[in-house]
Amino acid sequence: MSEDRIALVKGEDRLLKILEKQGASYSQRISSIEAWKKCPIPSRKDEYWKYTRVAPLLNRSYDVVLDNKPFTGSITKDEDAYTLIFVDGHFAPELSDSITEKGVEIGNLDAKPNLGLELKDFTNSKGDYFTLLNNSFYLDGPAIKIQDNCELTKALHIVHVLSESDRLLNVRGSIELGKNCNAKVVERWVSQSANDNLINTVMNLVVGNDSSLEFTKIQAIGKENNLISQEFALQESDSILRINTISLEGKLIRNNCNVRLQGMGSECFLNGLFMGRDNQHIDNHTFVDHAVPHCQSNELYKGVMDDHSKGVFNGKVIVQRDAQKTNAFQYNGNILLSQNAQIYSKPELEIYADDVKCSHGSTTGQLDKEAMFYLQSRGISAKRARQLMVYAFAKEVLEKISLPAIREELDRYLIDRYQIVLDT
Amino acid sequence: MLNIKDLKAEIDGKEILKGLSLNVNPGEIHAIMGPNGSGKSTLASVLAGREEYEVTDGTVEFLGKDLLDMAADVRAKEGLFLAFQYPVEIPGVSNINFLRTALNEIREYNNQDPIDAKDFLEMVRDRSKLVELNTKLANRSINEGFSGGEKKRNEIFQMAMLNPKLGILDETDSGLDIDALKIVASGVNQLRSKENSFLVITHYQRLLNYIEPDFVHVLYNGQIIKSGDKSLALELEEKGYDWIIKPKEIENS
Repeated sequence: MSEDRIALVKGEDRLLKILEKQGASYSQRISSIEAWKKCPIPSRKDEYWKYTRVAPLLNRSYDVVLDNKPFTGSITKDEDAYTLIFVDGHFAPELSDSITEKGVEIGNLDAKPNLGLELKDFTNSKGDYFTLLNNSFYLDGPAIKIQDNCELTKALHIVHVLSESDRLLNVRGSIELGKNCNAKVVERWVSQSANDNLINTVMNLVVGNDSSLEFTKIQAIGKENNLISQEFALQESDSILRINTISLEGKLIRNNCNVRLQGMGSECFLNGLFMGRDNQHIDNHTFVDHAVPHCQSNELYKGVMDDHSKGVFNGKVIVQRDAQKTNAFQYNGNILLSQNAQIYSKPELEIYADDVKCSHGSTTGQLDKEAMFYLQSRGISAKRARQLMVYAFAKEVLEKISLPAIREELDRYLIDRYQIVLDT
Repeated sequence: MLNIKDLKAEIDGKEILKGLSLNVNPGEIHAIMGPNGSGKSTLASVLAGREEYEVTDGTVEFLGKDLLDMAADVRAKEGLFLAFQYPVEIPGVSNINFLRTALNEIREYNNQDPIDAKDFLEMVRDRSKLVELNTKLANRSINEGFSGGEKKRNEIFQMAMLNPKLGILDETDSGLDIDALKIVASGVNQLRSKENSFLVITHYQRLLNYIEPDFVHVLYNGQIIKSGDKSLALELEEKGYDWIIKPKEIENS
C-alpha cells in the first residue's frame, strides 16, 4: 500500500540526513518512519476519523526541509507577555524574547533536544497516522521546563507564523511543570498569505503535583491551511490543567486533546469554541482517561456553524476500575446558522468504576425563536438579533480563559466577525 | 393611531381572531378584557408580529401605515411596543447592551444619531426609578434570574426607555402581588401623555383600578362583543362575563 502512495514528503533523503546529524534518536526516527509507512491513511472506516476526511490532504506532496527566506513581516507582540516566535515551524530567536526566570528553561527542540519529552501515547490508538508522521519528521518546536516551586510570572505566547505555502510542518513541543508550579501558555497562528500548508503538531504536557497549567490555543491559521493539533497531557496529584481550544479560521482543523488524570485529586478543564463558515471543517476529539480516584474532568465545547461548514465533537471519557469518586462532566452545545451547516456530536463514556458522577449533554439547534422574537420586538433587526445571540452563546467559552488580554482580544474578534456578517 | 378592521388570524390552522375591529386614538387607553381563550394574547401577538400567527383577513393601520406588512422590528421602530406576558430570559445578552442596541436601531430608523453613552446611562438611571428597578438588574443578562415581578417591571422599564407611541400590555398584571402591581401601574401612568396610547390586555379588573382606561372592550370568541367606558370593567368584576356571553351565544345559534 505504501508503494502506491504519493510521496507525501518531498526530499525525504535530505531530511533523513538532517535527522541523522541529531545522533542519538536517529534509530527511533527510522523505526517511526517504517511504522508510519505501514500505517494506512485514515479513512471513514476508522471510527476515529469517521466524520473527517483527510485523504485529500495526504494524497499529495509537501516540502518539508525548509530553505527559509529571511522573515520580513511584522508581528505585534503583547507587551505584558513573553513571546516565542516560530516561522514556518522554525524557531526565530532574533524575533523572540529571551526569558530569564528562576527555574524556568525555555527553548526550542532543534537547539535543545534534551529539553523535549518522549511522547507517551496513552490513548491505545496503536499508532495514529499523524502521531507517527510527527514522530518521524518533526524538526523543531517549543520546549518549556519549569523546576519545582517556580513559575512563569508572565504569560508565554508561542506565535507560529506561516509565510510559505505547500509545506508540511511537523511541530513538536513540550511543556513540563514540576511540583507546585504555575504557567499560562498561549499558542497561536498567524498566516501571512500562506496557503495549502498542512500543520501537524504534537504537544506533550506534564503537570506535576500541585501545579497549574493553562494552555490556550487560538487557531486562526488562514482560510487555505490545514491543521492537525494534538496534546498528550499527563496530570499528577492535585494538579490543574486547563486547555482552551478556540478554532476560528482554517480549511480543516482537527484537535485531538488527550488528558490522563493519573494523580489523585487532579482536575482538568477542557474548553472549546469552534466557529465555522464557508466550507470549513472543524473536528474536536477529546479523550479523558480517569486512571485514579478523586479526579474531576470538566468539558465545555461550543460550536457555531454557518454556511456549508461542518463541525464534529467527539468526547470520550474512560473511568477506570480503580477510579472511584470520579466526577466527569461534559457538555457540547451547537448552533447551526445555516440549513447547509452540519454538526456531528458524540459523547462516549466508558465507566468501569461504580462510585462515580458522570454526566454529558449535547444540544444542537437553531437560535431560540422566542428569544429572537423578543429582541426583534424591541426594534432590533433579525440580523442584529442573531449576532447578539451568537455572541452571547460563544462568550460563555471565552469567559473560561483566565488571561484578560486574550479574552478581550477574542471578544473583539467576535464583535468584528459578526459585524462583517451584518455588512454583507 | 391604531385602526383594526375585521381582523382574522389563525395558528396551526385554527382560527382565533374572527373579525375583530378596534380603533385607538392618540392619548387613549383601551382595556381588552375577556375570558380565557377568547383571543386576547393572540391579538397582542398578531399586532407585535409574531410569525407563528397567520393573518387571513382584515387590515391593521398603525399611524397611517400598513402594520401587517412590517417585520416585527420595523413595527417597534415605528413606535409599537409589546410588554410580554412571559418575558424571555436570554443568558449572555446584557439588558444594557440590548437596550442600547434597540434604542440606537430605532434612532437610526428615525434618522437620529446614536445616543451619547453618558446620556444613555442617565436615561437608564432615570427610567429605572420609574418602576423602582434596581439598576444592578439592568446590567445583568436579560431577565435571567429575575423574579416574576422583576421581569414585569423590566418590561415597563424597557417601554420607558424606548418611548413607544403605542404600548400593548399583555396581561402584565398576571403573577404580580398588589405592591408590584401598583409599581407597574404607576410606571405606566407616568408614561401616559396626549400623544401616546395604550392597549391594556387583562383578565382582571384589578389592574384597571390603577391604570384608568378610557374604553373597555370585551373580547369573546375572537370578536369584540361589547364596548363601554371604565364602568364596564366594574360591572364585569361584579357579574362575570356570562351576562354578555350568553345572549351572544343564543344570537349565534
